[in-house]
Amino acid sequence: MKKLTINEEIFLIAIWHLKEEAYGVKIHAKIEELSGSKILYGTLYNTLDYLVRKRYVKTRKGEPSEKRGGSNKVYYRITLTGKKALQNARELQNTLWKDIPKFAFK
Amino acid sequence: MREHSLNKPPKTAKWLLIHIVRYHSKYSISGDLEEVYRDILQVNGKVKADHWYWRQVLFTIFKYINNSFYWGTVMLKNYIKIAFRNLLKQRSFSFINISGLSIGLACSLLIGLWVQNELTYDMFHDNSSNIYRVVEVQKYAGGDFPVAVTPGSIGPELNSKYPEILENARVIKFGTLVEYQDNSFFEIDMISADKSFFSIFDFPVIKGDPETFFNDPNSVLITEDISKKYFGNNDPIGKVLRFDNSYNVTVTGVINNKNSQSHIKFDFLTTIRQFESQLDNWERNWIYTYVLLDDNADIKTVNSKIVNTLIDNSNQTEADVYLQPLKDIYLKSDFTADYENLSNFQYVYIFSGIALLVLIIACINFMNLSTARYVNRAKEVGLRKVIGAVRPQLLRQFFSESILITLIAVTISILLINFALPYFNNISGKELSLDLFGNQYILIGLFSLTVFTGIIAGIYPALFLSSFQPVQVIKGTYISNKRGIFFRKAFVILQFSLSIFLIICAGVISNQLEYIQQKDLGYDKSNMIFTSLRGSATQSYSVLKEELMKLPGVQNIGSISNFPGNIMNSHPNFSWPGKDPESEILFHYSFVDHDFLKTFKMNMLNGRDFDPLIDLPESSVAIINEEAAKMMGFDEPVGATFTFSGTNVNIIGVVKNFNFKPVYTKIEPIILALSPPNASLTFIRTYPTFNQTVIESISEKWESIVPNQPFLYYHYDELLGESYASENKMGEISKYFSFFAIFIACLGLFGLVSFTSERKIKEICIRKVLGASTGKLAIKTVFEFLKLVFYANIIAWPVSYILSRNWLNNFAYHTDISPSIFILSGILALLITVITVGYQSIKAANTNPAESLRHE
Repeated sequence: MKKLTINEEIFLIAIWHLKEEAYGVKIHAKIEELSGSKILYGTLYNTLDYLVRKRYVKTRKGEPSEKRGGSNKVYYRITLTGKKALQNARELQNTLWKDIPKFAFK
Repeated sequence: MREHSLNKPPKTAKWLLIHIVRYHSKYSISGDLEEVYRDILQVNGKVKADHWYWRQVLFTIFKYINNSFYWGTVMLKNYIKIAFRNLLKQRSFSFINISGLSIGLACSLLIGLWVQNELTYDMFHDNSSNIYRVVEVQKYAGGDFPVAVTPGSIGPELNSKYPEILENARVIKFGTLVEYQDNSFFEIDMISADKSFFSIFDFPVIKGDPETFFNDPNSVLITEDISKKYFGNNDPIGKVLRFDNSYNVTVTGVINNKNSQSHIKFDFLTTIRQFESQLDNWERNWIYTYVLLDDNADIKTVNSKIVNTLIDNSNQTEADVYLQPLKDIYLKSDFTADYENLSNFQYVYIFSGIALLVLIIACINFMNLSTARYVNRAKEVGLRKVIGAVRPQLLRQFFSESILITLIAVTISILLINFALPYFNNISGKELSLDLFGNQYILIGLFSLTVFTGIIAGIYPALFLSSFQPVQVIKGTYISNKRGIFFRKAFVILQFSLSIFLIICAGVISNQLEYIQQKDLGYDKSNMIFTSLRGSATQSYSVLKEELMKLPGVQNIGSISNFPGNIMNSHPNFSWPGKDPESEILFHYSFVDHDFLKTFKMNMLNGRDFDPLIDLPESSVAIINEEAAKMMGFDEPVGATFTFSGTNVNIIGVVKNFNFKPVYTKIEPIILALSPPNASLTFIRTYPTFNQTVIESISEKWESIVPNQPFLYYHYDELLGESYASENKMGEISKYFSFFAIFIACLGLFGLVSFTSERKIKEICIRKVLGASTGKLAIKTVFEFLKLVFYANIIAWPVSYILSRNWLNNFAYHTDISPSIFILSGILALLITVITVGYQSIKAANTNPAESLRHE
């Protein structure tokens, strides 16, 4: 399984955090919160599309709403493959940072 | 809730998003954006919200396109690399391929430039869309005759009567003797125009101030070439030229009309004053009238208003008047008495057709050569399929390859065009240039040509090459595709049919041209020189004639009032007993002296020629031609009388029809009226044997009788030949392009044969080992290809026959399509095939069997 890039990792974690509430606008907000930097919606959808194609994430149609001009909401959910990828990423992180004390790069 | 629903995000942005980003609904992008939009709307207001929305949409679109490109470009790099490698690996084949394509592209582009030039004639004037020419439709017993010339009074009348007509300008074509210091020339491209000419037309001015041009009624404007011709490098402004040996004009300006795209060709432009006395007339149609219409005028309304102008004001009661748009004049005019240098929309079609054909031949070449080399690519394709390439990807690869090759070919063709342009300009008489960045049509044309050619030429190879089955290919059990061979043969046949078709057409065109130039005009046009009687020469005419006739080389001398190659004078006001009063027939007329017909060696059918003893100066007699006699319908034309503008004229004879207009027009009725004082063009027929010395003696004698007047003469047949200039150009151009077409087809054949023989080398060598002779082997291959060319002939002949017929029917007088053209082109094609194929097969058949069979 290919390694996750850091952006993909951020996205997947954000989606995981939001659980049932994970849709476009909310994911965008969460990502900005987690990473501390702004992203544009264009980047958001681009990466989401990639994640969907790689089957880390799956989509689910929601209810239409007036506020959205009549279009449906689309909810995102991590798949098993996605969870596995996250798991691998975490293990890799742990291995990498295992014996390095917290103040090593200060 | 209500506030939300009232404020929608910017419609255009949303529309763009939905239509460009293919996956927008999958992720409900527009929904998300709208939600946030509403929030921002509440907090920051509409302006900020709209701004934000646009930004998001544009960026999303940008990212989307970038993404799709990314995957495309990654593979593209690989495709380009492989394409180049293949090109270099098979150098000779690539060379043939690319050169064939470049030549084809170069030809099409050249023709494209020519076509563009033709189509944009007269567009450079600021007001071009509002400029019209006043034309008439004369209605006679024979039908409707559109006429391009109008009476002098019509322009001012239309101008003053109708407010929609803002300006009018009259243009008169004339020619006369022009003298400056020691130089004198008889100039024929001269026009005379109203001052308003410059309010309507915008010819670029090189020297002088347009405002002051016509202040002096005796001024003239000249072109750069004329300035050089008469004044060298000196400033022409202010210099005085002498016209017609009788009046002076001053040069007030220099205009650029060189190779310009104007249907009005002129070297000199004078004020209309010299013709002033003849202008106010409603009966004589001899002037070109142009008008400028108001922007808001509706042409249909104006036409319906002016249609009866002639009927109301003149005796031309069967003539309608209407306006012809400026843009139609050059290509779509079909009028009597029009300018000579007009072209025809037909030629635009013909040449576009030729360009297309040449391009198709080049593309077929490419197709054939690419697929012929398939064996070398088969393994590559098989392997790609094994690692997972799908057909669309392979198609993309081969298309990029063909577009790449086309790009290379296009670059080379641009170089070729730059090289060929001077020659082409020479032949076509234009001044075309490949102004890549100035002329946006060229860029668009180049781009679309590249894509078009790349795709067309690439379709077949792409489909063919991408269809290989990996297992067969890699195992090596791939055998020749029967269908492939069939297609390739079909393509060769198609190529050759097109080339043969082009050759036949070029043959027909040049035959027709020759015919036109050699056609019996009804008189003998050779061995005649002519000069214009001016000034004192007119009085001394009889003395001149007498003295010159005494010279040994001079056979005959006669005069006429108009240039016999193109007599445009015509009038409807002829009446005769028995004429249907309703009908109006247009008769041409010219004034001649007693010896005109003799000098021209015309044949009398009936009656007698003019005789100075019988036909005294006061008598009004005339000779009419066959056609006129037919129109008048007399049982016995000789002795009958007709009336012209009140004068009764006796018909003393009927002359056999002769061409007094360019040969492709039908012969019309003409009346040759005896009136020596009016016949100012004097023709001198010399005996064929000693021309130059005779001319010198004539010159001497003339100048001794008419001092202060250099004897200026022209060879009649030369001048006559010049009226067919545009047909000649067409002929030349078609000849060259059909040569290129066949050359490209040959290149293709050459490449194909060399490849086939390469593949068959093992077969050939085995045969040799078994005892076959080199000669027999070569002949066998040659015959295979000859068969194909034979089929090509069979296809090409009927098609070219039908099309040539159609074209020839445009000419009132034309050759029959002789079978020899077909046979000749067939033989030519066969010959070429034999040479190309023979050479290659002999080379192949000569290979040492030991070498090629070594690895068996």
